[in-house]
Amino acid sequence: MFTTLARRPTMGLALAGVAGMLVVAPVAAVNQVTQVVTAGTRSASVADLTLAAVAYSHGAQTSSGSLTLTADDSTGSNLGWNVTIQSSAFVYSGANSGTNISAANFALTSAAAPAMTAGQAVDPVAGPKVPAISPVGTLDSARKTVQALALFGKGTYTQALGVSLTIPAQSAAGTYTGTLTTTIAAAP
Amino acid sequence: MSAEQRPIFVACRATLPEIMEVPHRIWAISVLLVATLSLGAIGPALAQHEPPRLGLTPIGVDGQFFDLRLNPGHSVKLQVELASFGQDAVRARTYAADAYSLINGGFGAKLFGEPPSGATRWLHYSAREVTLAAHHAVVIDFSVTVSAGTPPGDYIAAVVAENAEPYRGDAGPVTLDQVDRVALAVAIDVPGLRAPALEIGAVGHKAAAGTSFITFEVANSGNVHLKPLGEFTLRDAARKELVRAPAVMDSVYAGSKTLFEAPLAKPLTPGDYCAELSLKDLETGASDATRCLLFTVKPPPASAHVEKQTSRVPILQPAVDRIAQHPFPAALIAAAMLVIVWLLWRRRPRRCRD
Repeated sequence: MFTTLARRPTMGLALAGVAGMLVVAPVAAVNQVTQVVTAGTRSASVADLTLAAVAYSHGAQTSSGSLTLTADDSTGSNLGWNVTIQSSAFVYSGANSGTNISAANFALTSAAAPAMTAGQAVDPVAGPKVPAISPVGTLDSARKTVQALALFGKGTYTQALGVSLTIPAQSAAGTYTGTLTTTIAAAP
Repeated sequence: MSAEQRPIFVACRATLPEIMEVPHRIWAISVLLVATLSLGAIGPALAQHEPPRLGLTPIGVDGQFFDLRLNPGHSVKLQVELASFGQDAVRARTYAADAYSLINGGFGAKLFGEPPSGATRWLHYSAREVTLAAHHAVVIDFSVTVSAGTPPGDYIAAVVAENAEPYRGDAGPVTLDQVDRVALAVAIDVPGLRAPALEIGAVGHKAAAGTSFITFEVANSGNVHLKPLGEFTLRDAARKELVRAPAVMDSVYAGSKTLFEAPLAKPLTPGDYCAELSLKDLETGASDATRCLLFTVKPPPASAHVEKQTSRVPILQPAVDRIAQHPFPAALIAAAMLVIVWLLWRRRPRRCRD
């Protein structure tokens, strides 16, 4: 009986210790925190990228795919917003002396009308909406894919985007990694 | 056989059924331990794939960007709140950046590392990185000083917040590193005479993404921000109209140049064409129009032939293995398993003696 009771605290301490590590570890990485947030924000990010894989080829190839943009305005500001996406060059890494693929080879090929997932409904005139002139084009420059005018866009919205990557002829086998920058902005 | 003499792995041949006889409380605690550790370890690993949600909010001003009126040589002190709204701590970077007119107009902010120029140099906003806990914020003080002798007009710059370390989205067979930014305009009105002006420049053609794009250079050569509207027309060599469409541009900022870019529904065949563009800012009356400007679409070079691929060899980087990417949670799980094995082992001699 004594042995059993003695083991329970041991296990309890072990459990508490390990659980404590889980709690303390993330907190230990924090600094410069001065106040608690009380208001909402705007955010935008891209997910669900699909882009077909390719093999070495003597000729140029195009790999088509899609991604989903999610934009959220929880500021309650009524002032509208817009979202742009832009790509870097695709940097080669591998053992075959490959060269980078220009950002101009990565293109936005379509931008669907945004769909509301929470909050204010989409207004066909005030948005969130695709800009009047289609944003399709090469992603070496920032492309505005969706915008909301003042008093609109107070919610969460998703937008399906089509993309294509043109791989130059005789590109070396290996890995090409790009960085996609998504920006949500408030501006005149 | 005494306890001191018996080899641990022979004297007590505990089988799996015997081990299963360990009191239920022990198993319950073990299961709880594993569950706790698994949640604690795997949860953060999965959460790493949640995009960071940073906020950048002006303090003490109406609206969601800074809209200032300053005379040359004058300054104003400002504050902005940099906050994390995500579920995890995030390493955030904030900096001042040049604002520019996007293709077809609109607000763009230059990327981190690009040298500041123009009105951005009026911002005394030091680039910095901070680690923000979930739902916490820092307040950043900065100032804007309009250089003495600055001519009147509309000026614009930007302050930006972004995740300092690109994250890799959970995106299937291929991925992109991602940086998510929040940008605020710092619009500065320097009082004085306004002189709006708009100029349309050269026409161009480019082929990309399987279609043709007709471009015109557009310059706001005045000192007032504009939002030009107008019409675009494309004709063939015989001046037959091929396309006529509204030209609706967003903000073209004072003193900036950009492109009007019209994507066509299908690529143009090689040959001669002409295109014309007219634009007018309804608020200021600034306008310009071109005649039908000639351009030639050349045949694509033989090497530009593009194939649609179908193979399976990845050319983009596959998603990184989560365990390799998160060694700390993996180590915790391993430690938990060792603790459980040790606890069960501690039980075995007593049951054998029984």
